[in-house]
Formats: sequence, structure tokens, C-alpha cells
Amino acid sequence: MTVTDNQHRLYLQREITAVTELTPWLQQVMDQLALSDDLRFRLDLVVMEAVNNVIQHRVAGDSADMMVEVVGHTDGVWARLTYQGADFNPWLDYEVALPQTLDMALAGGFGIHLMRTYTNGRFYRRDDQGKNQMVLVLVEEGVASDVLDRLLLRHHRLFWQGADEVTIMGAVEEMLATCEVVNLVQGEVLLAEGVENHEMYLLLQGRVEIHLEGEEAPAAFLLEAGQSVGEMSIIEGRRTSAAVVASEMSRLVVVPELYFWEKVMGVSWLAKNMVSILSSRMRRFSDKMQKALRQELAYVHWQKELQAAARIQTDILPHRPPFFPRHPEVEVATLMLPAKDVGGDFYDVIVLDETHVCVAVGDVSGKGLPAALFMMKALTLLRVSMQNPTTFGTVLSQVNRLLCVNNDEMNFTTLVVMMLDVKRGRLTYLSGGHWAPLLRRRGEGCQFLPVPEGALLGITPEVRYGVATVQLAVGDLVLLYTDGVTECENGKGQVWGENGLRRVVDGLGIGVTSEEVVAGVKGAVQAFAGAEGIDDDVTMVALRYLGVHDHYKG
Amino acid sequence: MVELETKRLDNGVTRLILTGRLDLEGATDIEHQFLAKTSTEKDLILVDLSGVELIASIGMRLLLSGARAQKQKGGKLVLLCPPSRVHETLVKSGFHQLLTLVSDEGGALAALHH
Repeated sequence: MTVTDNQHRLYLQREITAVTELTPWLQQVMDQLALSDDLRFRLDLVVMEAVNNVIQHRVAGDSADMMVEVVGHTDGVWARLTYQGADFNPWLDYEVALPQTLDMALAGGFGIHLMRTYTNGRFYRRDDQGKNQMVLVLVEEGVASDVLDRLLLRHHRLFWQGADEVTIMGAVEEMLATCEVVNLVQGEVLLAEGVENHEMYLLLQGRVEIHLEGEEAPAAFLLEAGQSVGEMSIIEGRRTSAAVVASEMSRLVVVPELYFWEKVMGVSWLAKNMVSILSSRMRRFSDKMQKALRQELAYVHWQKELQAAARIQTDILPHRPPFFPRHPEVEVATLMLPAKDVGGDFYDVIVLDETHVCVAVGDVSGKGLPAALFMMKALTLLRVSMQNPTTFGTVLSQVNRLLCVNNDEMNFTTLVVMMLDVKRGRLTYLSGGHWAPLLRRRGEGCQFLPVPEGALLGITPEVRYGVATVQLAVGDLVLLYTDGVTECENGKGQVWGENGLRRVVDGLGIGVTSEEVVAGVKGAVQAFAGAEGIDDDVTMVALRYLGVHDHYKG
Repeated sequence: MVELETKRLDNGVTRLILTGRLDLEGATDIEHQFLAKTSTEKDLILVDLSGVELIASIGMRLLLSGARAQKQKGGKLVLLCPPSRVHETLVKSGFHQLLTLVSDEGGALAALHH
């Protein structure tokens, strides 16, 4: 086969006005090649579309030159466009779906569609110097498949450069005389992960997906016609490190290991092309990996920061009993079980003076760092505002006013605060949109305490907060909690509810301590949530009045 | 090269006859003329592609622009294209689903007056 006589070249500017030169030149070339009417029509159309595509994708800074080559073979022809500039792979990066309505149709995509429709093979390559090549291969209708295979393999990256056309075609024909060519249907697995492999596959048509985490996992990347797979396991003598699945109808040359070493790696220009395939793939892969690695590192770092924030958050809450060592009249237990990351629940236990102690529980809107920061603000303002017993009745209105200042994000919190006069057993409390505290009088069933007037803190500064009081007797116990307790869900979507809470506390023995109540409710909530685990913070403060006669033991 | 000829038919139909290559060069040449005739006012337009040798994507977009303009104005644009390579190109690009593509004049007129 002689090829050099049939090689034609045209140099064009990458500008729309240059196309006036294209058609007359191409007509003349097609006359000389004596192509059939069918091949003429298709080549005419696809070369024009390709030139238009290259012109349209020219970006600022790209060189203005392009070269069009047309080479005729027996029963076939190929066209190659060579140009400098931005990387654009029309066969890989661009998914063509034909428009379904007239209104959608003007968005375009017809050019690439026509090129796909009227060619038998398509390739795109880019070298290190930013030189791009787009190749279109066409054969006469009904010719034997080996005619097409020859032209396709000639444009595979393995054969694309390094020798003269006659040498290249000689090597192509030698390979096709020895090696089998196979078709894959969409979804067909070419290679599984972790298997022995002794063949390299050269992709002539179609695309394959590379799955690094097994065939079921999402594809890590795609390889298009002109690429190869399997050579790494031959070179390394190891099992395959990835699964390869056809993502569309594909055609491949199967190169046995022996042929690979002798006729590919043993021929310097082919070996050079092989190394270039591998290095460009490595580059493509390592760009992807580097990006993933950077994201992974940033994520790990962020996780550490969040964990540190969660620690600071829990550290700031009093968590080492006894909480009121100088007030033996009262016994307090606390618990905070964070659901995940940083939550918005908080509580506090504060001594006001010799006769007054306070407990508080709140739940900030939202999750994560914003909630945690707002919670810190609320907790600090609460501590600052709760300075003496005489102003206790105004504590929530003051905290609310201060939280409303500069609260552009509209965060808010619920909050219930209680002050106990330890000498008299008188409990005074205020509530801002929080759940009703649970009272268990010694030897009686539980009841929810009435909630005085009030609203969520942080939204409206004018809210009025009512004050309620209740007289505690020796042995009476009050439990403050957040919605992580009562709104806890199990795997079936059922909610534990206030009744669940009440039942569990009722079921505890008469002389039960604060510590035991907290532990009992915690256990019950966890048992109810089951394997799913809790999905919201669970926070509790239990307070038992022991009376002035110290060392009450129930 | 492409040429555009306009004929006003008795039955209120405008017949636009395109001949030659509706390629990058051809479509660019007649773009303004074609859009002026198809997009300015409501009309019944028969675009006769019988004499077109080749149609590229840019030519397809031109036809679609005209058809859409007529649809928006309440008019109609149909393509008359006898079986040919151009017809095949249009069908392979799904044109028969996007607008009215008929292969003879009787069908085209019927579609316009439907």
C-alpha cells in the first residue's frame, strides 16, 4: 500500500473567514483521491464541522495557525487537524444529547453529533507542548472490518508518531496480523480488579471506565479511543489494580504479553510512544489524586478543629461533681451526650450565695460551629446576668436583649433557669421556649411543671418572661432536659416522647438519687434509639432537694 | 455558495428556496437575509431544501432559529426536503422531531394550512 502520494495538507488561520479556503481545497483533494460519493459527502461535512469546532474553541492566547491533513487509503480516508492551544477533547469532555424540543435546540451540539454520526473513528491527542490533534477516520460503507481496524490503530497513541507513514503502517499491519480484535458491549467487564492479566488492550472505538474500588463503585476516570489498559499489570508483573468496564460499545486490540515485550517495547519508537501514553495517563491520574488528597487533608484538618471545638465546648460546662460542695441541701447530676460533631445543647450549675444555687439547660438552634459559638455567647451572658438572687426574675429578659444585639444570622436558643433557696426549698424558675421541667415528688408519680410566659431567646428583644415558683419537699427531684431526650427516635421512626420519659422516671425506686435518674434516663433513651444511635444531643440536669438536715439518705 | 430565492404563493404561503451548500460559508452568507424573511413577522413559510447539496450544523441552527421565531409569533415554518443525503442528515440529527419535515410539496402545504 502506498500512502505518501495520497497525503494532502492545508494551512489555515483559526478564524471563521479562513473557511472560504477550506471547501475548494477539500473538493480538489477528494477529486484526486477518487472517493465514492458517500465518502465525499461525509468527509466534506465532518472536516468542516471539525474545523469549525477548532475555530470556535480558540481562546485568547492560542496560536492562530492550524493544519488540516487528509490521507487516503484503500476504501478509507482519515483527516487530522493540528493546532496549538487550550485542551479540549470533544470525544471525552463533551456528552452529546440531541435536543428534544425546538426551544432547546438552539443550544447546539449538532456539530459534534454530526462528526460522531458520520465518522467510523475519532481521536484526540495533546502533547506536552500544548499541540492538539483531532483525528477523524472514515471508511466506505460495507468494507471488511480489518480495513477500518488498520486506520483506527494507525491513530492510536501507540502509533501516532516517531516513524514515517510507511513504517507506522507496517507496524500497524504486523500487529493486526497477530493480535485479535474484540468488541465489548456497554457494561461489559474487560478486567476485574485483582486478577492476573497478561494482555494489553488498545482501545480503537468507544470508551471504558476505570473503577479503582471495584466494578460497583463509581468510575474514577474514563479512557477514550486511543488509550490503552492492562499494560501496567504486565510491566509490574502484578495483579490488576483496577476494574475496567466498557461505558459504551467499544472495540479493542488484544496484545499478548510476549508481543508487548518483543514488538512494542522492543521497537524504540513504539516504546517511546508507550512511555508517553503512560506518562500522560499518570499526569491525568495524579492531577486527580492530588486534588483528592488536598481535599482529604483539608477535611482531616477540619475534623480535628471540630473535635477540639467540641472538647472546648464540653470543658466549659461544669462536669465534675459535686457541683455544690458547700450546699449539702441539694444534690445535682448532669449529663451531656453529644450526638455528632459539635452540638448546640448546654447547661450550667451556678452558686449565687450561701442560700441560693441555680441550674439551667438550653438548646441552641442549628448544628455545628455556628451553633456552638452562639451557645458560648448564651452561656457567657447567662453567667454574667446571674449575679444575685434579687435580680433573678429579670435574668432571661436581660440575656434575651443581649443575644438580640447583632444577631444577623437569627440564631436563637431555648433556655430554662431555676434558682433554689436551699434553706426553704423554694424553687423559682423562668423558661424561654423550653420543655416543661419534670417534677417527681418523693413517693409520687411524675408531673410536668407549668411553664411560665416566655419565648425563645435571641429573636425579639421585647419578650416578657414570667416567673413561677414551686415549693420542694425533702426528697423531691426536678429534671431539666433537652429535646434530644423526648424527641429521640428509634429505627422505625417512633418518638420516645414525654410519656416515655415520665414512665422511666416513675419506674425508678423511691430513694433514687439525681445521678441514678440521669443514668436511668440515659440508658432508656439509648435503648430506645437502638443501633441507629441518638441523632440529637441528649442533655440533662437533675436536682434533688435533700433539705437542711444534712446527709439525707432517703 | 448558497442562494436564497423568495416566492410568494397565492395561498398566503412564502416559499423560500435554498440552493447550494448550507455550510459554514453558505450559512454565514445568507444568515441575515434568511432571518429577515423568517423572523420579522408572522407568516406561513415553506423552506424548500430540494436544491441543497450539504447542510452543516450552522445551517441547521439557522433553520431552527427561523422555525422558533415563527412558533413564537404564531406562524409556521415547514421544511420541504425530498429523500437525499441532506434529508438523511436532518433525520439523523432528530430534526423530524423538532419541526415539520416533509418530502413533497403537497405534504408541506397541507402541514402549513393544518
